[in-house]
Formats: sequence, structure tokens, C-alpha cells
Amino acid sequence: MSESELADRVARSGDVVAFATLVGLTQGRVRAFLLRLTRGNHTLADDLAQETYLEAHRKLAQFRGEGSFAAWLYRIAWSRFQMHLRGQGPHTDELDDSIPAPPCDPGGRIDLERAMARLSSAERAALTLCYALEYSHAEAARIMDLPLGTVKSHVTRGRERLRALLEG
Amino acid sequence: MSNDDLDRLLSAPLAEPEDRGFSARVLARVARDSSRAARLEGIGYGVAAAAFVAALALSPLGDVMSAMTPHLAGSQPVMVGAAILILTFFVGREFARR
Repeated sequence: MSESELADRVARSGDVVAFATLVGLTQGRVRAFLLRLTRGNHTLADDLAQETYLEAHRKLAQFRGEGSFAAWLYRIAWSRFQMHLRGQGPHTDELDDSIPAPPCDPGGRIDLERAMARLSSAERAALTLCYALEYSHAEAARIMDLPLGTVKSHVTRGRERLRALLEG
Repeated sequence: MSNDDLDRLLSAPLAEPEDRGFSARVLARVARDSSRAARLEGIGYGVAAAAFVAALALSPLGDVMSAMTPHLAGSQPVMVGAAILILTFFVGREFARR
């Protein structure tokens, strides 16, 4: 049974087993996405992931099966993350230059994560959605609830900044 | 760094954390929230019903209703309508469960 079919089942009859299966199938991806958004803060990423699933459970009837269930979850996760940022007050999403620059060993995962942490959250989300999670620019725009052109410029600018950071 | 190198690096799958009880914690919170929501819903219905009965008792509508009740109880169309409503409710619930 696909994720969308399981979601439909939960929405129709509140099937707890189907919801548990959905959480088990998707939690790794959702938490990994949030982990990157929170610059590697495991506790915060897990708190936001939990909020994401609670909201998803409450709003499952609104999932119309347009796009994948995972994309719908990423959309909720992104919106939860933004609510968290707003709660932190202004300037929390500014580019963080206090994070040490990646060492001169380009190509490693640690270097990528360190370089990613120095981008804005919108750049991190756009790059992650379009590359690691293989969504199209249009799908990423729907997930982030941004105009397509804005997502494209986040991707272009993020790529260039990342390249500069990785090249030292 | 070439474009291909950067693409390869960015396209690497995300490192997914292990579950380590995360799913169980989510399900426990969902269950807790659902039972609280059901309790609140029950209280809401109770309050609404009590308010309705109080409004009936305190307003002239109550007298009108009690005058009409014997006629309504004996009315065949009203009984058929009520039966259809009840049947629709149970069939709808059974359909949703499946």
C-alpha cells in the first residue's frame, strides 16, 4: 500500500495502524530535512518533527493526494520551522558567520553540512528539496509556499555561496 | 570545484537518523491529543445540549414545542424522516469505518 493510500485510510477511518506505518516510513526523511534546516540541532529537529506529525494527523482530511504524501509532510515541516524562527524574534535567520568555515577538504559530508549551515534557511531548504530530495523547482515552490522565481534564485544563490565556502 | 562535483555533493541522500523511539513518542502524543479532543468535544456537546434545554425551558418556545409534541409524535412523515436520518447516520459511519 502506498503512502498516499495509507494517508487516505487514516483520514477516512482514523486507522491507527496505518498512521503508525506512515510515521515509520517517513520519519527518517522528515527528521533529516529538519536536521538540516536547524543546522544539526537534533533536539529541535525532533521537536519540530513531532509537531509536524501531530499537525499532519489533525489535518489528514485536507490531504487531497495532489503530490506525494512526503511532499505534504515537508510542507508542514517547513511551515513549523518558520513558525519556530518567527518565535525566536528578528534576525534569527540571518546568514550565520559565527559557524566555522569548512576545512579545506571539499567533497565530504561534514564539509557540506558546515557550509550549508552558513546559508540562509530558505537557501538550505531550496537546495535540499531540489537536490537531495529530488523535487523539481515547481514542487519545491509548492512545499515552501513561495513563487517559483524566488525558489530558483534561492537555488542559484545558495549554490554559488556554497561553492565559494567549499573552495575556501 | 566543478558544477558536476557540486551537483554530486548536493544530490547525496540525506543521512536519516535512526528511529530510536521517535515513532512511539509521536503515536503516544497523537493518542493523548485525540483523547483530549474527544473529551472536549463531548463537553462541548453537553454544554450545547444543556443550553438548548435551558433556552427551551425559559422561552415561550418551550410551550409551543410541548403543544406541538403530541402532533409530531403521531405524524407518519416525521417518523419516516427521523428513521431516514438515523439510518443515514449509521450507514455513513459504517462506510467511513471501512
